[in-house]
Amino acid sequence: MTANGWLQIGFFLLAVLAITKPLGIFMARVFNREKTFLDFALRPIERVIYRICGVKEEHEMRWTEYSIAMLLFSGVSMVLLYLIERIQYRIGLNPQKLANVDPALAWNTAASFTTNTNWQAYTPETTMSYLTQMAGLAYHNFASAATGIVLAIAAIRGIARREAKTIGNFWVDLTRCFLWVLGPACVVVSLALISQGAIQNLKRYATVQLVEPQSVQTTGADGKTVTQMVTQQVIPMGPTASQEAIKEFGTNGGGFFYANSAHPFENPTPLSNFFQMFLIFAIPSGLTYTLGRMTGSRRHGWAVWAAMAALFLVGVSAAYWSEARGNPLLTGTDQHASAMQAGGNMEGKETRFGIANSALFATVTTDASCGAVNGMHDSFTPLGGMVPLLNIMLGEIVFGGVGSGLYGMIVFVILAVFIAGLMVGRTPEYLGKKIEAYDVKMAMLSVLVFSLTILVFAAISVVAKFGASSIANAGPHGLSEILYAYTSAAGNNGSAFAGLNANTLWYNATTGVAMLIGRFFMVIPILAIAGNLAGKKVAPESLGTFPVTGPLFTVLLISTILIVGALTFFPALSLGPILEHLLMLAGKSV
Amino acid sequence: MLDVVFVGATVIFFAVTILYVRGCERLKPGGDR
Repeated sequence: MTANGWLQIGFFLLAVLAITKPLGIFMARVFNREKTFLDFALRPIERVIYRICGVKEEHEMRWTEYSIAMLLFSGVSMVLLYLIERIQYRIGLNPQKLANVDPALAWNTAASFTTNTNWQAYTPETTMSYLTQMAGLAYHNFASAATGIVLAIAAIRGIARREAKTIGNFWVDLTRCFLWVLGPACVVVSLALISQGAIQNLKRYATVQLVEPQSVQTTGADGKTVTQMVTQQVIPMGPTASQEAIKEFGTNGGGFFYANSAHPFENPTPLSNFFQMFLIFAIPSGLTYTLGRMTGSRRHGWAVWAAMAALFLVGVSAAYWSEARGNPLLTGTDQHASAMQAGGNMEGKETRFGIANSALFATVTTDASCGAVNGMHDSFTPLGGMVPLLNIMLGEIVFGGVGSGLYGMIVFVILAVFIAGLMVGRTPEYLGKKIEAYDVKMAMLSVLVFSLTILVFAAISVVAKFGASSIANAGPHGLSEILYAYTSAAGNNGSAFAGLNANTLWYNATTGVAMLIGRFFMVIPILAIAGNLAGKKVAPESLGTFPVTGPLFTVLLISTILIVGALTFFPALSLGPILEHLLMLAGKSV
Repeated sequence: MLDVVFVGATVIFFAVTILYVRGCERLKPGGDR
């Protein structure tokens, strides 16, 4: 580890801290329908959209109506994306003449992008046409991110409102999120990425002469080895920067290219790398302030932020330490960082970014439900690779996905105040509202759906031939590959551990189901809590009220997350990355 | 054929999820039973 690496990590967290309040205030103003500096340009567009779509601005929805509107929007969008993929060959903007996408893969991708997962069981540059990338995938990047944000806002309204039956209007929230929050920012971010060298065009792929022709050996179907000289390389093109902006800002993570943010056209410089990580955390961090402002308890918002920041620092420290340490058994190799080398474990990492920025990116992308990667998590050391896996298993509430991080955190807040209430023998309260059996049942339903989905699908895949045949490594690393796939799917993260051939009927179908369950079956109980809390009276604070604003609450919240989130998966982790680490120390892999 | 299966599965999933919404509401004390 180097001072330079720690400075960059520290500066990153300071930058996130700096954006939290201004962005949080802005989002609160947007969703409270207060005046903002963009109103003069966007309000007329908003009115036209409502007129065309028949949306009544002043109509307020109960939580059930809000949920069903969200489900209909997501369901119709998902079917449309599936159809675009299935007919992409004929519908234009396809200069490479890429074929229609196979049904199972098209469905998996449709589920993936609808749920903000952006798991990619395909190579984008050889599978998806420009039209599919732009009208299908990039559209969903916006739609799924906006959906996540407005669901968090609805949950906040449930906490903030008193004796109310409604939690907002889904269509109005969605439109305002598109117009005020995501759209303008992504235009600016796209231009910033282009300034760094990210490409943005609709050209055919370029074919260039190699500076150094390569001799390549291939084995034919008859088993004979053929040697040939490769003198040309095809370089994919495309509208990358515009997709890249929302990929990070909306914590989507689906790369325009297979190499994702390790590709120089997606993430050209260390500055763009820093910018991308910052964008991933911007909205989730800002939403903690929005929570504080809308509920009238800014200190509560900061207490939640502090819990997230503490868990982030623990995760990034563990990942950085493990990757910078490398493999302790490689005694004959110099693994120390110096002016001439990054040191540590550089396998699967970009030399442009080095150890610190790879460990930081891996932590950020899995703390949030982003899934963009700038290095191969499969090549991380066992403990370094466990950090991204554990981050997703915690429910991606360490800042988390746009919206999903905050509403996931609200579940843990409810469990924390419930536990605190049990400890002091009083009815638990959250910002003056009594937390009752129904709220805790719904919170636990959300937690259980997540862990059950991961563990059941992973268990079947490990024991069944159609599942185990896809792994590239035997032993605990193979288990980690399968476990990571379902954790990433159910957690709507989308990053891949790699090493697993997920483009099979079994994995396409089951990871698709895991993504849908992980998104919709988890959020509906949270909206139910919001709907229930909205109708409650606010009790005045008394001596027995557990404050949700101070360090004690932050520590209790972190403890609840670790007890509920981490211990659920401890047996699986001990058979995967922990066992792999112990085997590594013994000089074994299996 | 597979298109019908996948689109049908999607429709069924979202229909079940709408029932799930109603189920969560029915569990609520004083909910819509």
